[in-house]
Amino acid sequence: MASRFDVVQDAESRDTYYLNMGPQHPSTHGVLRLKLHLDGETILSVDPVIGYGHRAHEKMAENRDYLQFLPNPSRVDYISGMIYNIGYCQAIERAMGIEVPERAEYIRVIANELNRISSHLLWLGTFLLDLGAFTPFLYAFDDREKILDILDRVTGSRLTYCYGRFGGVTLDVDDLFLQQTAEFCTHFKTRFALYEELVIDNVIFQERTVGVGVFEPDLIQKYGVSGPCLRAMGQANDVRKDEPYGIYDRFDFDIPTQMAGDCFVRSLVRMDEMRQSVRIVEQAVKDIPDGPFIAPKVPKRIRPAEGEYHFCVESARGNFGIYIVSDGSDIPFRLKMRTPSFANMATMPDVMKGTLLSDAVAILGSIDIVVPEIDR
Amino acid sequence: MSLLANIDGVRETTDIDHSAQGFHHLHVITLDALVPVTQTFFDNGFYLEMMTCQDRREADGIFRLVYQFCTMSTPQRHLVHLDIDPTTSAPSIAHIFPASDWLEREVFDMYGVGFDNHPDLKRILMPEAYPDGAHPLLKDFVDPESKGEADGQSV
Amino acid sequence: MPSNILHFFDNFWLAIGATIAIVMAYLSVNAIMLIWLERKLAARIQRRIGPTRGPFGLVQQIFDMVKLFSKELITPDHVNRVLYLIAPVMIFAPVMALCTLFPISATWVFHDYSVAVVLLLAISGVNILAIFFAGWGSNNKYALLGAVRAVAQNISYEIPLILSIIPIVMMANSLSLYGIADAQTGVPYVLLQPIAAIIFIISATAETNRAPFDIPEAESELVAGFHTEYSGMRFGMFFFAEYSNMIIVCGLATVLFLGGWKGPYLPGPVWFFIKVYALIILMMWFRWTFPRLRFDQLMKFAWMVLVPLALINLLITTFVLKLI
Repeated sequence: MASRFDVVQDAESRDTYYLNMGPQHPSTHGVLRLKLHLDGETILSVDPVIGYGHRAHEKMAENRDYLQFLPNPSRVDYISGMIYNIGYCQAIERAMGIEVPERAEYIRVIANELNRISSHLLWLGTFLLDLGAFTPFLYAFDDREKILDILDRVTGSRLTYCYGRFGGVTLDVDDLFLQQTAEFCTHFKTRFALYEELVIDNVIFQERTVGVGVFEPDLIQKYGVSGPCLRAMGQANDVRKDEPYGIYDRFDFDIPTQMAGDCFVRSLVRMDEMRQSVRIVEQAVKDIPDGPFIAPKVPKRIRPAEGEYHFCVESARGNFGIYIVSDGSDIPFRLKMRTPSFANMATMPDVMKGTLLSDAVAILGSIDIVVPEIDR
Repeated sequence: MSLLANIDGVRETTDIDHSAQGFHHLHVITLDALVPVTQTFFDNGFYLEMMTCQDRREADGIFRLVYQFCTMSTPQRHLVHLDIDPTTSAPSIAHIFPASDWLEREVFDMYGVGFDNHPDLKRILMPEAYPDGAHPLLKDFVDPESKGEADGQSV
Repeated sequence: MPSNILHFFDNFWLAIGATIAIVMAYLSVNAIMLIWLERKLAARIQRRIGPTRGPFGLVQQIFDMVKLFSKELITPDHVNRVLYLIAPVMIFAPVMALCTLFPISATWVFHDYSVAVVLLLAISGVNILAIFFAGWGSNNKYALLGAVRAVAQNISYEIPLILSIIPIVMMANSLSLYGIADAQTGVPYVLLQPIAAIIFIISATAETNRAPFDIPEAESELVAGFHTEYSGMRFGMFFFAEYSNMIIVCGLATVLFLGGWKGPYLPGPVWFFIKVYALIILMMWFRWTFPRLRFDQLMKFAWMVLVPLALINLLITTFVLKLI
């Protein structure tokens, strides 16, 4: 058997060659390896090799009770960990029939949407970094830092949050948090013009992204593409609207869509999503009621009735589903996480075929993969 | 409901309370019915949301393959159970849903379940050089590297 | 005529030695200062502070130099040793030679060659060869891809570069850098030849492989391009060469378009260096503002936009000169 790291000369043709992009490469966003078959700089085929960041979360779930697994989901996707963490809580709450107080629901929405904005900002920075523009990265991180500071104050962590609890959240938020959040929203709305001027309207940026990495419409059904990639193909699907969880049905927000399905409109969709998230946060900050932040009566032992449960949330990358099989004991019999990056990444062999090496970098950046989420 | 009515091998179809469990329908099918069932879902605009496996050898002596099909708008989530004998392999549906290419590889990697007609069945998350027969999500899995007790419930 | 450096020193070898010493000292200090400048400038553009060691962060560069010098020089096993070792030297050598061509003021010139423009273009061609040696000799696919890109890019952009120089040569009626600068009495050529100036600065940015044309070393695509396999001071040489090349192209632009040393009130050398460093800051500004072009777009831009534009400009210049 050939070694994994062999540099293989193509047997059939002397004009083509294989190039390992990764596992350690500046723009694979982690330890992802793309085995590229190249003719010059044109990609003939791509074979993504994943699993370098596999941490056996699903095996861990089978060896822990439901509460002990609580810190894990936010490690699956560390960029939008809050959404995963709270999503897992909501999955258990529905399985157990735990009622969540109003205030906790609002806190969760604010935290989720702030986390979504910070995730999209990180995408903006790293995507532009992939395209060779260094400066927007620091502008985006400047704004992201404000969100991290706000969340850090109430949750105690900056990245891998474990803020949700079954029936609510760990700690209540204070008025300062709401004030800071409102201030951030006001500040952030003024930044869109800047990003558009600096990034979206840039001629070179458009040259690099328009018409590059087009997702053909049939990929939606074949691969189950979700998230901003899906909405950039003209499908207005968002779990927050389709199967509203928590209290998302109370908020007034739109699903931004674009038709072209290329890297450029994926960027536009994400920019618009940040606007919508700001809208949601502003509504939530205005309407948040007083009251308990965690349900007063949560069962001591989390034992969902025997059966299968599925719960999905809209993470920053798409449809994140948690599938739990309970055998009635303290420990999940099977816990499977359906991660959006896994499905989106699976399309890469189809999407990247025939593009250039530089495009591969742009495409990878534009679908916003988080490699540990693919590997779990 | 009537979606799979005409297919042989769909043994049982039950409705599930979506607001409690997240699914709308559960179908229990036999091995032969998998490809026609999948094709029906494909023709009706469903996508393969998730596919996985349960190791039920201890209780029932079977592997239960779980397929989850979902529609895009106004989600209709169908759960398909396919119980197979641990010694047999299942037909691959990668020619209908390419998404299942990687998902089947993951099931093969984690459970050792084979898939017939799969384009390239090899490990996906574990290293390619991982010992044959070591499939981490099996309930009786012992870490080949530790050669001792697998990390049990003594967390 | 300006005074030749040979006039200062009676002995020929003494003159050569002094020239080398001056150029080496200047280029080293220049590269260090430019790296400092680029860092500070980038930091300002990105709303950061930048290096802070010592006054204005100047000491940071000395630490970095010490680090580069003290690092182990790793020669990978699989490289072509001759090409691999010769490339870092070769990339630096032409820059040193080119430095001696520029007239710093009406009286300060190392040696005024009558065909300095041609000589400059010819010697700077060696640069490409060094990059290709580095890429080929490294025996690394990323390095090779970077080298191939660099060669294609530099050859393509040399054509618009030369085509933008020709109108200037025609107007000045001289191939000597001193002569061209001297011919710009009153109005600098940038006002008479704005299109040529724009083409020149774009091509010059591409020639020096700087962003947005830094595709040979595109970090996010090719890791570090042609110098992926180099470490320590060998990498430092490529780094130095990049900044020294900026001096060359900006010096050339100053002479061709900005009238060289000419300017009111201040002495010639001061004006010369003000103009050169202003252009360098402009190139740095480019780098920290724009994303990187794709390879095929870059080539298309050279052949479909710059070359025809330069040719039209040349044609117009010819007619106008003939009519006057």
